[in-house]
Amino acid sequence: MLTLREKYYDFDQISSKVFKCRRDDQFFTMKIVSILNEENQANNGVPYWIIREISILKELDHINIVRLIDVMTDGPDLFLVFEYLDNEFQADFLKNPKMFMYPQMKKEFLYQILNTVAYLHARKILLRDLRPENILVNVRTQVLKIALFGAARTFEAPLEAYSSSVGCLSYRSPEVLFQFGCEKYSTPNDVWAVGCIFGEMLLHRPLFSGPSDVELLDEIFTLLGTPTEETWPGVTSICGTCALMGPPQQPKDLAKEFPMLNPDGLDLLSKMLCLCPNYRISAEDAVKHPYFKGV
Amino acid sequence: MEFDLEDPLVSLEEEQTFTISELFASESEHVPSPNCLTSTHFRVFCCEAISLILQVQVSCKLDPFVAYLAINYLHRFMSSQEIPQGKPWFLRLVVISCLSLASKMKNTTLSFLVIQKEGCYFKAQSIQRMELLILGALKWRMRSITPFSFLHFFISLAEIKDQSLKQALKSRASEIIFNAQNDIKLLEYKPSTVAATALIFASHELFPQQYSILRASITASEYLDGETLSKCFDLMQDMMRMEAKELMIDTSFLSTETPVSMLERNTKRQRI
Repeated sequence: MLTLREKYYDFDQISSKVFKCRRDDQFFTMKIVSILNEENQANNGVPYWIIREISILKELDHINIVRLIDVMTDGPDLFLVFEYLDNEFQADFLKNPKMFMYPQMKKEFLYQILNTVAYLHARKILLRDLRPENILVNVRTQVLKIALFGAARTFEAPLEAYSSSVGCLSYRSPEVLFQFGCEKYSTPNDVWAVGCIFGEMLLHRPLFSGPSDVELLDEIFTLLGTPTEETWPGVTSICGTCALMGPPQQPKDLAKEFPMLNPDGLDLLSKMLCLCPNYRISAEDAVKHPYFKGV
Repeated sequence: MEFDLEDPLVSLEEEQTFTISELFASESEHVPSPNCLTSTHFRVFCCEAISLILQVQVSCKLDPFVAYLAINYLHRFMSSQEIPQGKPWFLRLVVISCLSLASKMKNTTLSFLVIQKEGCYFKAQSIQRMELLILGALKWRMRSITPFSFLHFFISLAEIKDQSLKQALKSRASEIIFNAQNDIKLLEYKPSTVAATALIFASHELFPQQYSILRASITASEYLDGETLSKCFDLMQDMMRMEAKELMIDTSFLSTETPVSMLERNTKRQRI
């Protein structure tokens, strides 16, 4: 078995724990993950979240997912070897100005995101934390890549630490926001996140940006209306207190909020941002939506 | 990211066919390599290790699926290694590490302190090193494809309408699969074959009238080889008979009848 430095060489640091490296003619991105816990003790062995995430990534083979090619160990560190994405791939794709110049590009990228989510859901894999920072795009080739492992978060932090981060709230679904503290994710939450990203592509700003659960819910209900037992059966039992609901609000006209969007697009957006998770469109159905005709 | 271990498939609509075929295509990578099955050392080592795993499962009240997964890791790992001689601690360390990894995949992390109460005294650092060794040998593919992954698919082929009937069938088939893990001979068969066989047995036990329909729909599946299925069926049948015999022997202690009186009863029956 070749050691790390025998197998890979020409290391070039990209950031504190990320390197570009080479083997033969191919370049790779290598990320270092420490498996010691906060007290530098191996008190319960390899952390479960690392095993689970790597195990998932090892299974995935999709053009729109950054591929994990190799895993090597050296003492208390793991070295994750990913496919290399050259400078043409821009991180945090919604900050790329070209995104807003070509409407067709938005549709193409939205389709690729949904196709990827459908691929993952077919394997009973949930993203839970999909947001623009995790998405890279190459506007020349119009290929999008989702980085599933550690692209935008510190490698040492376990997943739970990120679940409570304020920065992640913008793409969280109402059913998840309602149960803060005990997140029960499922596939509709990922679709909601894609809906938020879709809206953000159109408006050039996050659709919802409140700094807390309560403020986010208020923004959501301001746009989409306060849910009722009729629009969301079971909602009163989900939200613990009526305070989360706020005063009843009527939904706004999405056509006026998104004037640049055609009727098919409005239909898709409204279905992805359906308040009731059971009624929300699935990723599998979304990729077949008429909005994507011709993609 | 999160996922469901027992059921990698979300739905079984026709559009999902690629995923089903993908599952069948991948399953060979989640079984031990064929060469080891003829090795006496491998069999002896694994039998002893499985016995210890099941012992820990009972005393620590682990989810049966955790034990099942741990046994899968054990088989895959040991089939890629040489069995070390003269290191009695090795077996225990492998067992603990496999159980630890399986519980982590099941998201019910098992504290090393709990395991140590079962007489397995190893430093956390040693267990971690063994965990990394196993992870590397299994290429970090810890979401094993097991027979449980296929039950839903095969049941759907029979087009059973009754949901409670489906559930009973799945439960009994799962029980058969759990019980079958003791026999190392089953390692020769792919998880899908084991799943199909267990379902056929379960349907015969629970719903004899549905049996022929289910058997026909399963054996018609393009993913299964009829001859292999038949051999697996024979093996499982032998296992079931052995199980029945053991039950008979066990329950004989509960009988108040002596062998003599049983003999007399048989004699009377013959006279009539």
